[in-house]
Amino acid sequence: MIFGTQGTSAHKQVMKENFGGSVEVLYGELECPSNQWTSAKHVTQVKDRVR
Amino acid sequence: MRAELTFRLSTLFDVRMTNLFARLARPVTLFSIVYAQTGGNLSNCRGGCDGGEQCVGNPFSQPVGDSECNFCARGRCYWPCNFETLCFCQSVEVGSPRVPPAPKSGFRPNAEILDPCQAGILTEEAFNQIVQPSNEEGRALYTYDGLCQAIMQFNKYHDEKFAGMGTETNTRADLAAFLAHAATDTYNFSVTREALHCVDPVTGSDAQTYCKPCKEEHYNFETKSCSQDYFAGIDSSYPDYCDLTRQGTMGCMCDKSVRPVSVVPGHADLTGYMAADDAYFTRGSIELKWNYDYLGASMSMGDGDYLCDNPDLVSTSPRHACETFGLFHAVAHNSFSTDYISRHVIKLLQGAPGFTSTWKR
Repeated sequence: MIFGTQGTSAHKQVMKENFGGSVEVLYGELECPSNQWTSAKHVTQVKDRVR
Repeated sequence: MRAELTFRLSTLFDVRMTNLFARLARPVTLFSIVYAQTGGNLSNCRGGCDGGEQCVGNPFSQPVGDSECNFCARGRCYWPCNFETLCFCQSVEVGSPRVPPAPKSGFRPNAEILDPCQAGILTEEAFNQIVQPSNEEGRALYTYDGLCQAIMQFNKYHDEKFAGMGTETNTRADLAAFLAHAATDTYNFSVTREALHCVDPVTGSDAQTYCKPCKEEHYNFETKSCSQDYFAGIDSSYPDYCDLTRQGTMGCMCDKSVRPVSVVPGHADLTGYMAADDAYFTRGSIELKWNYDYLGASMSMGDGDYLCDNPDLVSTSPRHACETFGLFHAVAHNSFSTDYISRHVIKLLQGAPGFTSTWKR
């Protein structure tokens, strides 16, 4: 299922001054969403990655 | 088992990014966003292609064939025609480079900074302060000249420039972010090949590199050693990272049956080795892994399918090691809400150097 009609890239996110967005493009499945209320698993992954 | 990841993104973001911006950025007094069309090859064929062109697929984020894109030029308004740059107009002239376009940022190219190396935005001194590999292999591969050449090559073929759009601050941020991601993915520019798939690489007397692949269950991530020959067993071939459903215009061909070499030239005592150039696995500053990644990176640089036959160039050639940013930094075509992309990204990242759990070093 495709939602939306525009692609994005890490470059596009950086151009929007959104470094976090570039992380999401490249590593989103591993680390996003990192809100502890919605995904403890991702929070753990982020913590492990940045440990 | 979860291996320790010692290079920290928080370090990157809080310290390295700060340092990067300190080195690359200048005080911003004016920030202007200029929305403009960059024209050129950025098209999903809506409205048809010009004479001498045909609508073809850009399969490097989603599998899409030329036949499906043909309908876009005839007025189809749904997938793949409704997704930016999934299809694009390509010259029918034989030999013309097929270069997948990059999604548009909305910024205008900065005519004064189209080459950030020549413009003094990225100096060799700044590069060497940021890129400090811990081993000789990394120092030989991740070089200033290699990155500069890769940027020039990429920008030559793209309206959406790398480190050449918007203000000077934008270009510095682009460079800083790329270097931050590359540092993470390469263990601070020190990993050149995915360790699991290239244990104890050796250079043969023929000057070629040979790798000893290992199955995950036999690999010790602490000692980086392999307890059993990958090729031991009934099927003594290496089929990894070649997606049979994405070949031809959608990925490098999987017709190479990768088998162990009978002897590594100059190393008659070694067994269980394959030629590095025969196999696809994780390499590069922003990792390439699957057969379609290698084709995408090669095409995005205007190199056709050159990397398909020479994948190990990404681990031996400074320009090719750095030019992998083209696929992931500017051409990668992801949508945050796309289930397929999420699976695709995780598949790309699994086993890649620099990550743990699903990422094993």
